[in-house]
Amino acid sequence: MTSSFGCPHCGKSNPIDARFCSYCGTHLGDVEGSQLAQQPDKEEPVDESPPEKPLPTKRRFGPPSYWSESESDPADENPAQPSTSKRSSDLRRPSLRPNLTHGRPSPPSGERPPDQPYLPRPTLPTPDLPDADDPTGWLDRFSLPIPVESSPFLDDDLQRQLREFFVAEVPLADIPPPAGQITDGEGLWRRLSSYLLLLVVLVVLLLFRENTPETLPHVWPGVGPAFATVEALPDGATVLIHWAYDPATAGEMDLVARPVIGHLLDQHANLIVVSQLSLGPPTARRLIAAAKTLTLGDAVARQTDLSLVDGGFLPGGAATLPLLGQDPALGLPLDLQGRPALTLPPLASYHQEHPALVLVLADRMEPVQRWLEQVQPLNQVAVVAVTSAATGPAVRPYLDSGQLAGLVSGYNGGIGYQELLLRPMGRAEQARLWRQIAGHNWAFVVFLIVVLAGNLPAALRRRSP
Amino acid sequence: MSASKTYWHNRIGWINRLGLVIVLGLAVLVVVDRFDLATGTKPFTSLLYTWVLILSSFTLLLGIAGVVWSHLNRIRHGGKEWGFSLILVIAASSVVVVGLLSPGGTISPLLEWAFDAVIAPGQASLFALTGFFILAAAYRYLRLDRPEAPWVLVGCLLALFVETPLTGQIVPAIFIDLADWLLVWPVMAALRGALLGGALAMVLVAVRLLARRGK
Repeated sequence: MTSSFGCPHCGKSNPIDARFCSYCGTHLGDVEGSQLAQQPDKEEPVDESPPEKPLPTKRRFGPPSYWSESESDPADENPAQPSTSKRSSDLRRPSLRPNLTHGRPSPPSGERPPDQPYLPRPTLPTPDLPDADDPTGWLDRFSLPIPVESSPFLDDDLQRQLREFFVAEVPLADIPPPAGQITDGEGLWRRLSSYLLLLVVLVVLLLFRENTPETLPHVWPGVGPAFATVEALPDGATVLIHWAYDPATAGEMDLVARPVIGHLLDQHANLIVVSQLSLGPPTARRLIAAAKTLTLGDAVARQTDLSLVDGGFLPGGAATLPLLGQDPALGLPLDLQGRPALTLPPLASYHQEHPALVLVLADRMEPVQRWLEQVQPLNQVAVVAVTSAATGPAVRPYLDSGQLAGLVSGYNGGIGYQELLLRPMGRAEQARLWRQIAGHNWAFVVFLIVVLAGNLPAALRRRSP
Repeated sequence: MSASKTYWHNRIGWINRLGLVIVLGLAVLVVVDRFDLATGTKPFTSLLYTWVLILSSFTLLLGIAGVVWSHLNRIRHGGKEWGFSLILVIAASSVVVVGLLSPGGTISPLLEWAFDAVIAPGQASLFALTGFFILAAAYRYLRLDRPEAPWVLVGCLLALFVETPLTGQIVPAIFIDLADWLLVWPVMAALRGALLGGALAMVLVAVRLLARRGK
């Protein structure tokens, strides 16, 4: 006896005693389920005698859209008649009865139709897998009253149609809401409120964008220890920078990273940059070049090319990070220009001894976490993290536990770090910073307006009696 | 099952078991090395990491080749939006050819221009769209009549009031301390729990995969 059958609406398999389909919720009816459970699953006898009349060869398979009431097939001269009790009980079930007989002449009552060969149970080739589900099991209980040529196997076209039928999405009928029902905030009021909100946002952005209040954002802890760690570096120390952000988040991250990179250049540190993002190295080159120009001036910046080693892109994710801590010579044998390590003092010193400091610049938590888990236990080098504002809280526990020597998060952290440097900011840098602050302020105002607008329709919504 | 399929089924099962034995052995080696349970394992694990580096590089190239191949097929068959596929293939081919032929390699002027003019602005623009998603989500879900939304709304507004320069100076210090405490203790506790649970789930799935003989 079959233990499951297919839902007539979505075709998914359900237990025999299910009252509702567990996928689409169609009511299946417990009476029909019990009837199906009691009826033995036996094969239909195949009538091998030649038919008296030529049978139509057209088979009607496909999504339920094919089974419309207006559809009538003039080629179907011999409408099918259920001859067994099981088939008749199936047809009595409204949920399982397709509209195949509409438009076609029904057989005269009281007359037992000839025993015609109906469509035999299709024997689709089952795959040779021990756990294969039979998707066509529900066909066993689904009788199609269309007389077709008796054939023990389904041809390729029919198999393809069956597959398309099973995977096709059943179109659901559009049920319009009943007339006169009060809708919840829909219609004209919602549209008006949306347009009004958009207008207010545009007016605020266009008219008040130049107003920048003279306030600085709050600075979270971790900036002071980061500054102290960099300040304590000896002259000419090798610093490994793990660059983990790309141009997508460079708008914020550049503001955070620039003061720290400038401080490292002030300390005459030799920088080795490695990234596991393909666009990390070019992003790093641009920021370091800008920081050099601001810190050292153009002339000196050009002379310090050897202090920066671009290690390039390191693929492999967390699986290859341990190479940088365990065996740097294998992780960074060459720089991006293909120069071997021995010709570059920073790389040579990095291969011989561990770097003095590791700087992780990341816009997400995962790169910082991976470095602290995969690399730091191997070389025990101090790590300073420079992250985005959203990542700062997630990385704070590492600062509290001592795994991080310092943490600079968000552009407000960059401002706090810049203030500790006691170095005046350039005009372009100042303008960029004030633009960021103004944008932050007005984004907050827009957010407040959006939240208020979202709560206003609910407050003004009419309740149905 | 036919005889040939049975033959290959048995062969595949045996190969799977051999692969699982190798994976298990290497996992034990890495664990022993990371926890310093034995000496002399560093050269072997360094070699493994180098092999992973080579494999991941090849996988990257294979992925690029697969993408180009699928788009070439779409162009050849005139599939949906084949024009975009053509643009992608031409752009990718141009960048590769320029990078290979130019003396500067990946830092040649043309590639630098492509990064500055196309890639960087494009990435930044795509990321900027997330702001609109956040606004749409805030409009839809931060409503007082939804079941848990008031809690989310209060926490969100508290963090914003403290972080925003406009309001950060007028907010009392107690609110700043409250926001800090909330971030460090309950929020991080929940986040850490989720991370630990996810990591444990990964370990269990890996053990289950190994124990099921490659199924």
